[in-house]
Amino acid sequence: MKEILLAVRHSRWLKFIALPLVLIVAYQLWASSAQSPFFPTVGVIAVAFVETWGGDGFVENVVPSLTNLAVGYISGVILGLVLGVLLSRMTVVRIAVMPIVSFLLALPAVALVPLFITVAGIGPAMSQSIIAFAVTLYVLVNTVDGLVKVDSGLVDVNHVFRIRGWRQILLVLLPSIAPRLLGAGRAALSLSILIMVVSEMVGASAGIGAVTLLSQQSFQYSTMWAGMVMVAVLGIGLNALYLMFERPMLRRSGISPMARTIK
Amino acid sequence: MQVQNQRSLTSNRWVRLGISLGGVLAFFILWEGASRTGWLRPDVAPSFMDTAAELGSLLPQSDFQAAVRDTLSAWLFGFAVTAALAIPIGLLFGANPWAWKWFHSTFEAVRPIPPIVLLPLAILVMGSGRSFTTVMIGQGVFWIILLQVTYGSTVIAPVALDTATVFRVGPWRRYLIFRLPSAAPIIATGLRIAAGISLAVEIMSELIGGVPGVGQLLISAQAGNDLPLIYALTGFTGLLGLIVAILFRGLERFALKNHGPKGGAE
Amino acid sequence: MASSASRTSLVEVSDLSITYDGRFGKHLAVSGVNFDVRPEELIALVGPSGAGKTTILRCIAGLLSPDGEDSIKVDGKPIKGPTEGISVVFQDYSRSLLAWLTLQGNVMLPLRAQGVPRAEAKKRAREALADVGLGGKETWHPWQLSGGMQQRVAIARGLACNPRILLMDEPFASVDAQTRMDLEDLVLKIKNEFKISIIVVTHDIDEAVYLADRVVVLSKSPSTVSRILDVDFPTPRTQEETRVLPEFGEIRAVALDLVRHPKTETV
Repeated sequence: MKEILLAVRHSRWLKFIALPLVLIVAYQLWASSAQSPFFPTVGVIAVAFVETWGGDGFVENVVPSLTNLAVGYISGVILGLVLGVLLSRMTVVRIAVMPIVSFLLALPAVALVPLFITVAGIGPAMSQSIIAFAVTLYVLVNTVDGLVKVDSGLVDVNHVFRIRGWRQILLVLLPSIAPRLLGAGRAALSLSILIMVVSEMVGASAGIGAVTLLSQQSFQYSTMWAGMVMVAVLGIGLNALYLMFERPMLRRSGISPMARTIK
Repeated sequence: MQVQNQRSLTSNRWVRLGISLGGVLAFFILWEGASRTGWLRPDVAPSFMDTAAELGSLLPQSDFQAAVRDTLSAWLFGFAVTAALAIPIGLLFGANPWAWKWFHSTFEAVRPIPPIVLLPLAILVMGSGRSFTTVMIGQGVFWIILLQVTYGSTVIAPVALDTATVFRVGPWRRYLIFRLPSAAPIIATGLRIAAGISLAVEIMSELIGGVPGVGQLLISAQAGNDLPLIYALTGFTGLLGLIVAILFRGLERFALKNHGPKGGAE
Repeated sequence: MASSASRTSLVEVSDLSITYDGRFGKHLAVSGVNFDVRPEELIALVGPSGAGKTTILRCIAGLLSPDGEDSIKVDGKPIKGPTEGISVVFQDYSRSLLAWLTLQGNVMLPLRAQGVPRAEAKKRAREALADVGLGGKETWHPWQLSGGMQQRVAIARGLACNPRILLMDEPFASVDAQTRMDLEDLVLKIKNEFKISIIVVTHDIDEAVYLADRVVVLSKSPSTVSRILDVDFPTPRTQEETRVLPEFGEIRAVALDLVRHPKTETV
């Protein structure tokens, strides 16, 4: 029994890395024969990665980027939830502000970068506020939409058992839309990473995005590759981290992770 | 007392529309008022009137129109090429569970890679032309469409497939009559999401990659510190996004039409 | 009957009419319904589908407002919204139980919302769960249980509030026949042990006759009371013995005829 379980595990792991592994090997073979400056070999990229992001590079560039990301994302989630709960309870206000909110939601968040640079100047405040702005909108819309369409059965339970106030919000209403909120949180995290990199590429002298684009402009292609790998790794890694935290929450809300659909 | 058997005034469609219009109007008035009283400083935001006037003067300008054309055509081209690749591949995976099992986890893993990742290299290799924007958009939304299409074509109820088997429906019909219609709403949702992201990727390529379009105008307005122009262009980009969102919502509704009130996914 | 028994009745429903504001204008769902519920009595509401049984129950629960301010009175006081002492077991346990809370958490929530101290709420929740046969499963989640067991949790939640009146809306509509009988017996046990009044809405006439002290038969929409049938079986009732009594068959036949051919008889 144990062996069978192990074999299944093993093969899933195999499936997971098979294709990337084939691609990396193919790239290595091609890059070492092509000798193009744009396409350094895997070894060169790995060395550049360690040099760029290890030691001082980590403190100077990775930490500020991740700090901006965390500050913007977390404040956006909190603000989005609070405003979403408030709006879901004020019907008239909600109907009145929804056109503006949907307009802002449809506005590609990266297009806000020039505006925020001009107003907030170049620096961490700019990245953080765009991220927070975009995440707030995204979480707010999903919270409002989820709460407005909340199961009428739960509304009855709240009335009959006179469950009110924070208990109603935190123990009944928000958990009932947890799958949707968690999905929105994941999408918002991806968006945050994108905005972080874009805002650094447009208007910053430090940070992961800035280093990546600056090295491209100064013909340091292995550093550029190190930056691209970093961006990809961040995207995959933070998403995996999120899933790890999401799965037990979903299980607790009584809904299997597979049952969720994309919004 | 909680009165639930009385339909409240806000459930009337016209009342809602009125409140919405009032909300937009109030927003504009508040904005203008905040500027006039000096509470909203001009180095943070121009007044509503100034922004509207700026947008109004932009619309007839030929270089602005050219930029809009550039943005829209590059977006549409990139999106169409990506969708044309991803949809058939997704349908193939959907019909072939074995292959899907092999690639599923890899695709899921690749999806969270930010759509900007290839940008520095792609500019280098391809310059800032149509092929560049297409590759960027493709990298950004290919996985999303592919996963949605595959997911959509695997959600078909086993009963429906059994029905097809019992009535000895051939493989082609099986696909056309049974799988595709049940997949259509989910595919449409994927396309809507992908269309929005494609537009964002296009704007992003213009901001950073120097591709001609509205994004490039935004960058030069930022360089000139021209706040009214920045607000007008950002607002215009929002309108573009809104139009794209509304169009694809329409497509989604159309795809859902034959599924009854509760058809499809969410 | 309703007026003469008013002194002893706990719930008085007099000339109850309910009008909906529907999509296509006003819709009269219930028209002039009269019945009463005495202490420790089990009343079953039956009628054809769409007869407004659930609507009446929702009014008593305070979830809907009737047309007349005081057409429903409890202890002589008109109902104004959800009232202390009235508990509800909803039809769909999968929607009314909170999947993210444990069984104990589900039962405790209404108590805590009423300001019962944590320790006491916990104690009462455990007792209520034990009463419905779920002792020892306090830390389970609803989705780990079968449908019948989940409905027991809903009953425990209703009981933990120490109600005087328990309202049950098609409580066993979505469980299999075997489980259904067990739950019916649980309801009878609860009624006797806790000395409470119970109103059960059901579309199953056999169930109504088996459970009830009186069966209120409603007509089609807009519903009126076709007749109130007294059910006087020896106690304790058991599935095996009660259901084969000749009286059971008689009452059942009368009720069935009233439900299926509502035009042939009026009060």
